This record gives sequence, structure tokens and C-alpha cells, in this order.
Amino acid sequence: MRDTRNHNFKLVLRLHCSIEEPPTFIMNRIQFWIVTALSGAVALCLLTQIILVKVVQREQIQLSMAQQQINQGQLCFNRLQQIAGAIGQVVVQTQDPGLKELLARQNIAFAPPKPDANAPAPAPAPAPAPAPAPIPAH
Amino acid sequence: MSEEYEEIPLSPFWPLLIVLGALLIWSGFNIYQLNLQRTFTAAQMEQMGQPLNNAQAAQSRLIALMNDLIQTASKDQAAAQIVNQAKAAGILRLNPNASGNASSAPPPQ
Repeated sequence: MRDTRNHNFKLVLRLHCSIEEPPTFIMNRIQFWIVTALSGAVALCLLTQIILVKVVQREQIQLSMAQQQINQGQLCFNRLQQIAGAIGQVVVQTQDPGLKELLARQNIAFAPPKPDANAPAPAPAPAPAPAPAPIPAH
Repeated sequence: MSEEYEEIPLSPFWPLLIVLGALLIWSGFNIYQLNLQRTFTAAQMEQMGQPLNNAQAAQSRLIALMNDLIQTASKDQAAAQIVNQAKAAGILRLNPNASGNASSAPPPQ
């Protein structure tokens, strides 16, 4: 017990002594400025990196949204074709004036199928336009 | 006892230089990669410009056609039949809460 106390006392004494000793980790002036400049460059690079990551994330979100919108547009175009085809079919069969006007209002070009001797049955109602047609002016 | 802890004057310069240099290289490489990704994304966005316009045009054209079709369906029997068919096929969905012409093409799945 006594030995242990004595040992602790010596340890504390040694620690105090070591605090009072002059520091041994010394750089000269040039080394200090080199390390400081390098640290600044690293900090700047890390900051740039953080900003760039944020920007890239935002751009990726925009890109995925645009992709989603294109897919939706493709589906919309398919539906537009379906509905326009159905309307065209009805127009051919019934010569309905209301639907004819509707097609005209929507700028949907509709060509009635020409009677073909070789064809077994007349093809009904072609699609309105091959590419996404211009938005009708209202 | 003091010989055990013989102190050599050490400088942290070289270890610091190595660590900072490595960090600088790593960060520079990351910045380069991120810039590369940005360039790629920008090129993709540019490529998507025309299809995006087409998609938006198709979407608004579908909505206009649907609204017109529903307006026509109130007066025209054939149009009403087409509307019913479209509803049955899931192409058209009526929104009962909306005022006026409550028609819309359902959002594509």
C-alpha cells in the first residue's frame, strides 16, 4: 500500500516535470507555412467537394424527373392515339358531326381508309399523328 | 530511468505533409469525378430536351382532347359511348371533387 502511494507520487511528479519541459515538436518557419498552405488547400478542396456533391445530387434528381416525365408523355401519347383512333373509327362508322368537329377542333388529322380491293377488310381509323403533334390552339 | 525516455527532437512536418498530401490527392480525384459526372448529366439533359417537350405536348394534348370529348359527350351519344369505353379501359378517370369539367387522363402508372 505504501509502495503504491509512493509510486503514484513519483508519477505525478514526473508528469508535472514533463509539462514544464520545453516542447520537442518543432517545425521551422518554412515547414510551418508549407503545412499551413497545404491544410488550407485541403480545406478548400473538401468544401468544393461538398458543394459539388450537392449540385450533382440536385442535377440527378432533375434528370430522373425529366426521365419520368418523358415516360409519362409516352404513355399519354399512346392513350391519345387510342382515343383518337376510337373517335376516328366512330366517325367512319356513324359520320357523327359532333365527333368530326371534335377532331377538327383538336387538329387531329384523320384520313378515312381507302377501299382496297386486295385488302380483306378496310382498316379502321388510323392514328392521329406519327409524332407528338402540336398542341391545339384554344 | 531518464535514459529510457531519451528524447529525440522530432518534427511533425513530414507526417503532416504525407497526410495532407494524401487528402489533397483524394479530394482532387473526387472533385474530378464529380465534375465528370456533372458533364455527363448535362449532356443527358441536353439530349432529353426535345423528348421532354414532346412529352409535355402530348400530355397537354391528351388533357385537351379529354376535356373536349367530355364536353361533346354531354350532347353527343357517340361521344358519350367513347367516354364510357375510355372509363372502362382505365384511360379516363373522372374526378368528382373537381369543379366544372372534372375530367382528366389518369396519371400513367
